[in-house]
Parts: sequence; C-alpha cells; structure tokens
Amino acid sequence: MMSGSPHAPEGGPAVRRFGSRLRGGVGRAGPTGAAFALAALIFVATALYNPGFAGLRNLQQMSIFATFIGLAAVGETVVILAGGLDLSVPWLMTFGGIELGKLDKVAALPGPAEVLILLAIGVAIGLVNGIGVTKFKVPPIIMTLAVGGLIEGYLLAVGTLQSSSSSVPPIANQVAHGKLGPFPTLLLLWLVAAVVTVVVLRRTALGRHIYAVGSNARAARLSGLRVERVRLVTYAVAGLTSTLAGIVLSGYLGTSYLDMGTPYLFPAIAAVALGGTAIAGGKGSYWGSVAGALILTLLSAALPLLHLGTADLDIVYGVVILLGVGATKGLVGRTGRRHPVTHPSPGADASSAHEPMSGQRERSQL
Amino acid sequence: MSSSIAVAPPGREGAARPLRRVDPAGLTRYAGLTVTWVLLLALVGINIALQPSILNMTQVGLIVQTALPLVFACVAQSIVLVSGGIDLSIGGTLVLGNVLAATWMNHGVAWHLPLIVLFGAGFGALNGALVVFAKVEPFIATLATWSIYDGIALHLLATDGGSTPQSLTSWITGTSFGIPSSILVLAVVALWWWHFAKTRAGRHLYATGSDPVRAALGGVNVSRTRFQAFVLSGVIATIGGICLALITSTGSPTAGSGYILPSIEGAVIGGVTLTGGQGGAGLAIAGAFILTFITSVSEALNLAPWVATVISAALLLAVVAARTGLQHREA
Amino acid sequence: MDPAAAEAAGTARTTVRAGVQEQPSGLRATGVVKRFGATIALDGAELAAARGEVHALVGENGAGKSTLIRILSGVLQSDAGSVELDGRPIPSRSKARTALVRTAFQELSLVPALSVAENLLFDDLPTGWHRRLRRRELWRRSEAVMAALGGRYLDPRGRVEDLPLADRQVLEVMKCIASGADVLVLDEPTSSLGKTDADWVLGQARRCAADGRVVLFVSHRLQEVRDVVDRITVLRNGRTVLTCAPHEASDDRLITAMLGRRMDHLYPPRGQEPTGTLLSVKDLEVPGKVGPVSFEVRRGELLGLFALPGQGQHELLQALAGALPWKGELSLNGQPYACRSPHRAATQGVVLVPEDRQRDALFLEHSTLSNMTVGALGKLRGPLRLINQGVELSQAKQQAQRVGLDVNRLGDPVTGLSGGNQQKTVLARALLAEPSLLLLDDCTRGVDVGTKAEIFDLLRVLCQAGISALFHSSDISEVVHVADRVVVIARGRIAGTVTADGLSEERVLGLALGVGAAAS
Repeated sequence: MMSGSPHAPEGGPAVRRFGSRLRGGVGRAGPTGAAFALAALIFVATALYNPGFAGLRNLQQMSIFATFIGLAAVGETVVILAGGLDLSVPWLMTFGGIELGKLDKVAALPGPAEVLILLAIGVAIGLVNGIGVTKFKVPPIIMTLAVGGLIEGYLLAVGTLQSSSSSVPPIANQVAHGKLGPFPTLLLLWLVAAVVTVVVLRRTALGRHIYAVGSNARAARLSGLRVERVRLVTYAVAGLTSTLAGIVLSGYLGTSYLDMGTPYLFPAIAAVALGGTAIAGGKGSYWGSVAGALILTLLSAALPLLHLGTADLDIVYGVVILLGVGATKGLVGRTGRRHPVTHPSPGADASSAHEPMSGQRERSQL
Repeated sequence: MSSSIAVAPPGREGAARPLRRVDPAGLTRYAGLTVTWVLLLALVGINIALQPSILNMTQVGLIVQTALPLVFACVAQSIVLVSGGIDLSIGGTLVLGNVLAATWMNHGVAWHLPLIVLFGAGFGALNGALVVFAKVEPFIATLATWSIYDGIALHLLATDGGSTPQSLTSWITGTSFGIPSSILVLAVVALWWWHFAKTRAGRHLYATGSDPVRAALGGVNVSRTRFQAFVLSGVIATIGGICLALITSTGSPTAGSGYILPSIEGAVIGGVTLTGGQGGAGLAIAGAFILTFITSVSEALNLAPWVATVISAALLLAVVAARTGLQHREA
Repeated sequence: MDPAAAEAAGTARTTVRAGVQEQPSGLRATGVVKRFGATIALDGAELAAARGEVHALVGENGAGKSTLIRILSGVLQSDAGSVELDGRPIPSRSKARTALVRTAFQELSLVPALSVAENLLFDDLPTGWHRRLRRRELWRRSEAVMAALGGRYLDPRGRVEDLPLADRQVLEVMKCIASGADVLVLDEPTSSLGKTDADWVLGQARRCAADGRVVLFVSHRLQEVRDVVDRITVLRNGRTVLTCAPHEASDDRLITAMLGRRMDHLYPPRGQEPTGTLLSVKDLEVPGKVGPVSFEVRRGELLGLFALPGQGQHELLQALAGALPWKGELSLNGQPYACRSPHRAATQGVVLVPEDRQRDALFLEHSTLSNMTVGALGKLRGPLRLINQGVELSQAKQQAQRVGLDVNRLGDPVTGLSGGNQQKTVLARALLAEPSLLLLDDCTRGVDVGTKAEIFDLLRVLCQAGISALFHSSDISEVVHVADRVVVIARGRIAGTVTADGLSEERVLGLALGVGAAAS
C-alpha cells in the first residue's frame, strides 16, 4: 500500500532507469561520458589537422602531462566530493619536489623509503588541513590557502638558509622517464591510482560516506556517520596525491624549484569541474576528472599546433570549462540541483518546513 | 536554564511562549567583528611604534595608495560574497582594467576612462549572466572567466608596459584639497558602501545572500540582485586595476593573480563570511589594510619575505578560527 | 489600513458567510494545470472563494495544495487555466500578483539577516530622497502594525535569525496581513504555534475576512479548519473533489474525500504490556534547553512525548541521539549509555529520525537506495571490505517492504518521492541500523493521512518485536492515540507522565499548559 496516492505529483521527471541508477548509486554516467566525448573530439580534430599529433611519442608525452594533473586531481576530486576544497595542492606539489631532493642529499636512504617518508609528510599536512576544517571550523578555502602560505613560507625560509640544490634522486627520475612497453610508467601509475580511487569511492563504505557527507553533512552526522573523520581522510588523500604528483613532476623535469606547483592550481580544480563533479559536493566521479585532465592536456598540446599562444590557451581553457559545465547541465537537465523557487518539487516541499536552503547553505561553505 | 523559570508555574500566557534566548547570536556576531578592529588597531599601533615618522599626511597617503588596489579587490569580492557567491575572476577584471588603462588612456582620458569602467561592468555582467541565467556555480563560472579575462589581458599587452597619462598619475599620487588623493578615493569607496548598504538594493543584497529562497518569497528579485552584485564587483575590480595602473604608471598583464586569493583573504579576515548575507565592504576594507600592514610591519622590521608569508597565513587562520570559535560556542 | 481593501469591504460585507455558489466578487481559479516534466501536479484544479470568506484548502500531501498556492502567489506559472479576482484575471507576473495575493509561507519568507521591522515592511521599506532607509520611521511603523494586529510584540530592531521559530511564524503571518493584499493565503500558519498564538492567527483570519478580504487557509489540523472557516475545498491528485461548508463535512467525509477511499483506522490498537527497562534517563540536562529530566523507556514500549513548540523536546531527543552535548546519567540495557556522537549512539542501537527530513535526513542528490543504506554500509561489506551490492539491494528491499515502499523504485532519486515516501525512506534507514530504540522527532509532520496510518501500524509492529520507540509529535491526538504512555514536557522539564488508562487529549494538553495536576 505504498504511495498512498499513486498519482502523487513528484518533482522533476520520473526517472525509471532502475539498473544504471541503482548500480552507481550516487554516480552519474552522463557528465563523465560527455567529458570523454569532448576529449575524443579534441583529439580526433587535432589529429586530422596534424597527423603527427596522434604519433606514439606525442601520445606518450601527453599522457605524462595528463598524469600530473590527474594525480593532483585525485585529491581534489575526493575533497570536493565531500563538500570541501583544497587550494594547497600546488604548494604541496612544490614541497614534494623540493623536499625529495633535499632528503636525498641529507639522508641518502634508499629511494622508495625517501618517497614513502615524503608521502607520509604529505598526508600529515593534509591532516592539518582537515583538522583546521573539521575541528576549528575554518572554511576550507581559507584553511588550505593558509596552509599553502605556511608551506611557501617554510620553503622560502629553508631555501634562504641553505642554498638548495635542484638535484633529483634517481628514483623519481626512473619513474618519470621509465616505460613499460610503449606505456610510460607514469601513465600506469595514474591508471592504478584512478582504479583504486574509483573503486574506493563507489564500492567502499568510506567512499559512499564521502558522497553522503558532501551531499548533506547534517544528515550524514545524524545518520551516524563520522563526518569529521570522513573529511579528515579526504584531506589526507589530497595531501598524499599532491605530494606524489610533485615528486614525479620533479622527476620528469629533472629539477625542482619554488613555484613549480603553481601552474597546477587551476588545472586540478578545472579537471574536477570539467568532469561534472558538483563543486558543492555529493555528486560526481573520478572518471570525470580523468576526462577533465585529458581535455586540459589535449588543449595545451593542440593549441601550439594551431599557432596559438598562451594567451589563447587561457581563453580556450575558460571557454571549454564553461562549455563543458554547460553540456553537463544540459545532460543532467533539471534533475540536477534543486532550485526551490524556480523548479520546486511539490511532492517534497511540505517537509522542508523551516530551513528550505540550509542544506545547501551548509555545503556552500567553501 | 535558570531554575526559577522552570519552577514557576507557567501561566496561560507564558505557556505558549517558547523559551527565549537572550540574543546570543547577536552578541557573538559583534564579538567576532571586534576581532577585526582590534587587530587593525594593533597593527596600526605596531606600525607607528616602529616608524613614528609615518604619522604625517603624506606617509599615510602613501600607505593608503599602496593598499588601494587591494582595497578595491576586497570590496569587489565582499559584495559578491555578501550576495552568496564568490568571484574568482576579480584578478582577471582587475588586470583588464589595468591593461586597458595602460594602453588606452593616453588616447584621451575623458571618454576612455568611463569606457573602461563600462567594460568592467560588462565583465561583471558576463559573470552574472553565467551564474544567474546559465546557472553555472559561481566558483566554476568565475574560475573560467578568470582564465578568459587573463587571456584577453595577455593579448592586449603581452608583457609589462604601456603608460598612463601623467596628469592622472600625479593626481592620484599627489594631493587634492590638501589631502592625499588616495585617501579621498578610499573615502569615496567607503562612503558609497555606507550609503549603498542601507538602500533598498543593499537590503536586497543581504536578503539574497542570507537565503535566496526566502528573499524570493519575500518579493526580492533574486536574479537581478545577484546579477547586480557581479556587475558591481566587475566595476569595482576594474577601477582597482585602473588605480594600480595609475599608481605604477604602467600596465602589467600578470598583476591580477596576485589579487584573487588575497581578495578572499582580506574579505574573510575582515569578517565577511563565505556563506553570504554577513559582513560588508567596510569590513573588507579593514581586512585589506590588515594584510597591507602585515607586509609593511615585516618590511619595517627587515624580516625575510618568508616571515611575512608565514605571519599572514598564521594570522588568517588564527582570526578565522577565533571568530568561528566564538560563533560556534553558542550555536 | 489599506484603502482598497476598506473600499472593497463595503461591497463585500453583504456576501459575508453567505456561502452562495455564484460569487460576484472574490477569488476564482478555474482549470489550473501544472506539470513538472512527466508528472502532473495540478490537473484542472478549481477554487472559488468569496470576499469575506475564510476558505480552507485541504488535501493529502502531494495533492497539489502547495503547487496551487505557489501559482496563486505567482511563484510558479500555471500551464493552463485562469486565476481571477472579482472577475478580472490577475496578472501572473510575480510582482504584480504579490500586490493582490499575499502568502504566509509555511517555510517562511523572512530574511534571517534583516531586522524584524525590515522584514515586516519588506515590500515597502521607507526610504528618503537619499534612498537610504529611514530607520526611525521603519521602527515606528512596524510597531504601529504590530499594535494594530494585537499579536505578539517583537522588538523591531532585533534580527529575525535570533527569534525562536514560533515568533518567526507569527511575524510571517503579520507580514502577510500587513501587506494589505486582497487575497491572503495562510499556508499551515499554526504548525509551529502554541494555543495562544494559534488562536490569534485564527482570529486574524476571521478579522481579515470581515474586512472583505479573501482568506485562504491551508492546514493539516482538521479541527482547526472546522472551527474557523466558512467553506472547505478538498484537493486530491491535482483535482478539486469537494467543496462544502464545514457543517456538511464530517471528519469521515473529509478524510474520505482526501484519500479517495475510507480510512478504516488511523491508529492501531495498543499492544501488550511492555516489560523491563531499556533506557533509563536520570537527571539529563542539555544546558539552557532541557532538564534536569528523569524517565525511562521500557522494552517494546511506544513512549509518547508531547510538548508545545519550543519546550526543549527536540533538544531532548537530539541529546539522546548524541547530537547535542548533555550532562546526566543514562543507561541502556543496564549498561552505561555513552552517546557522545550520533555514531556512538547508533552503534549502541539508538537511532534518531529527525524532525526536518530535507534538512537533517535526506541526501537529495542520491537515490532512494543510497539514502536507505548509507548508515549501514559497514555491515554490508564482503571481501576486500568492498560493499556487496547484492546484499545491499536485498537488505534495502527487505526494509522497503517493511515500511511499505515500492521496491521497484529504489533506484529513483529521493527528490522524486512524495513527503510521505521520503519519510518512509528515512524510517527504512533507521531500521537498517537494527535499532533497539527509535527516537522519532515529529516524523509525521507534513505527511499525508494514509502514510501516517502506515507509520503508526509499523511502529506498533516494531514494538511488538521488542523495539522501543520514543515518539514525539506536535499533533496531540497522535501522541494520545498511538503511545502506550505519554511524557509531557514543558519548559525543558517533565510536566507529568500519563499512562494508558488516563490518556486523553485534555489531560495531556492541560499538563503541557501547566494547568493540569501532575499525574503518575
């Protein structure tokens, strides 16, 4: 005798694609597919214009560049899905690159141990972000910005105290330049990271809790989820992957310097947005961010072929983000974010008695 | 709860009345804002103690002049923040104002100046249209336009260069009516906000930021208000860019990125919340000066640049944590 | 106060309480249709309310009341049909319409960051040549309005966000009445109010009608409706199914019209005597809100909790669920019950169903299935700690059947469900946590009568299975008829406990008001 009135009006078009919605539970195929399609379109169009674009060497190059964005975007995606934001990514990357070289010089441990130590420090810095956001209730933008400032201050301080060498230990070099068959090691590293990320997000309690916390933190708390812990973990993940991205970037560049991470602030967030992940959290997937990283990389590789410079690249980036987000909106349509005034859902409105927007407000606390 | 209330038998009148809170939110709101002014005064005090010579009109004018572009950036940001959005394109609009001023104004101030400001309104209007009509989240929309505006600026001026009319530069770095012009400009901005906040449009801005649904139900044209906020932000950031060009008497296509995050930092340190409907441009101005004074104090002390970076980051954290701590204790 | 209304009053008074079929003047909506995508919210709804009349609009949840109200108030545009006032169509543009039709929304249209006065006079903020607000005039005028309406006095300078909910609802009604619009729509205006304020609202509704305005009154409280209105219109599935005078409409007839079928029973019979103590509460205090209070919940007991609005009942339930800090001694099953967070409470078998489901319980972007299982994922893990999706689905289906949700629609987004089904989703989530104690905070608010009956049946079945429930409802008759025992809270303390044999609405309300003698 469910649904006392079978014709009860409900908000939005009734969606009855049982299987697909049920499987993903919270993810949507739409935006991710659109982002991959856009990436494919850019690739094919450029390859037709200039066949060399699809050559093996160029593909390897581009996959490596995409990896840097993609790794940084792992953390950014996870943090954003949980309703946060991490602006400390570029500084963590710089930190990873510079400190690895320094650690190698000072301690001369085996390569993997050095990397692990650094990653642990990265996690610790991520946890600082997380503690500020959860325990001290500092808005994520401010907290991560400030931590970024503190890292920069530290690097400046140490840099002025001792003339930092720009040497890069062999391990980073090998990983960054190694190949397995035709595949760059970095690409495989990214692939592994991507699969792990997606499986964790979709198929583990932690992942599903991340979506829940991003969707409605109050409800998540009252349903017995440990909201603060979930958020802490997301920032720790961001600390880990950003540091890793910095390490492999320094390995690839063969050097490390202050500001080396700075160019990645914009792409890390843009990749997430292009992938259709809601910036307010609770909705999206890492595959989308993968597609976003590919789009950004393809554009930056394709535009010079068309004799366009950095100024044009900036403009194209912006336009593509707008188009990508617009396409996502078109696909997801009105089932996306609820705007009570413009598209109210009459079946649901009676219960939203007193704080119609507070759920959203909670989330928009960037 | 005091026991006397509970023991007293509730009368017929009283029974229906819920327990009354004694406006704790109101008190903590003010406590939170006091932090801003105390911090600002402390920094002014330290500055004066370190360099007693700054206590004259010219020196004060110089400090204000240094702070002016940041003040405009923070004011622009705070208006959008109050409306419930965020504007990452401030760096872009500021730098476009800067570049346009450095390339056009020598061809005649009289109508190029208003034209540049009009362009600024256009940049803001694009942001507003994306957010309001295309329903793109403000963070994403302005992230994208930031990139676009930066790109356009690079097209207009590939490297630092250009020049501004000597007359205007000497006006803004000089005095008028015996007062440093920069102080006058600052006063105009502050007065404008003082007036605007209490007009109907200003009240609608707060209503929209605090809860757009309720504001709409209460008869506010929410779309128009949010659009307006972005247009105002575009205009003000552009004027900030023009000021920067005039003060440095040159243009720089990369100056903008130095203002995006600081504009948020300044607004928030001043007491504007990221959730909308709270704070205002007055506080943002205070925040901008706090950031400026931190730099000037560390310069006066001859501290290494990293110290200023660390101090301002730590201070930002401390202030925000203290303020939210005060507010969450009651909530 | 408003010249147009006063002038209209002269002509309208002749038709007051006439209840004739053809009104020369008044509000008339004909053939109103509104679709949201594939769903039809309104399917030719009709409404005719004369000037001088208080007209009730009732219907189940999802019957289309809210949609009709939104169309009348210009928040939504109808797809077809017309809305006329005194025979002239009302412009559908929201601005023009709000001048004629004014709504006191259930979800409140007040702006928290603005002052009471600014909210009250929001449409017509007095500004001078300088375009700034004239604050003194603002305060003076709002005080005059409040005095004229005879409601509660609120400090015009106070911020609305600092007011308790009941004050805000009163202010919302004042704002609506003060607007001087010809048509007033009061959407559940008394849902958060105690008796005094509710009576004031009803009196104002009558007075506005007497002034020749049209008052449309929406309420779930049938008794209230019956006492105050001249005529009643019942909506079902987006159509008007009945319009009649209150004396022609028995509760049975109304409920039948609302449901389209007869309700056999709303309340299930009580079960066997509960045995043994499950939760014992000793000197529980929530600073500033509750306490100290002491009571116990027996095993398999449905313990009712009643209080007038704002007496600390929500805080009490939240504290027991670990969502608020508390002091005191709690024990569950004889063990100390340490609930310092909702997570700790849930692991010990205590689960809260919050008062406001959209704000506190639902993940609106997610599917019904995800909403159900989110709290129990830890128990659904298979190898490698991955969630076993087969088990997840079968468990969810099991609970969906238990609460009466369509198992084939678990994949639908939860936003698409009606209020009642959303509440069932939240209940299913609570059951998946395998609770020993359910804390139900007004879980029937904004839920249609049919779903209410289902929820009550379910609660009884659960209690027979040995689960206990602490059931709070703002509807006194629910508490009285459903619970085994009722604890009455007033001003954060226990005003009395009433056992099954002495249970009556008068007794409970008396205790809540502080006029009844304490009973055991």
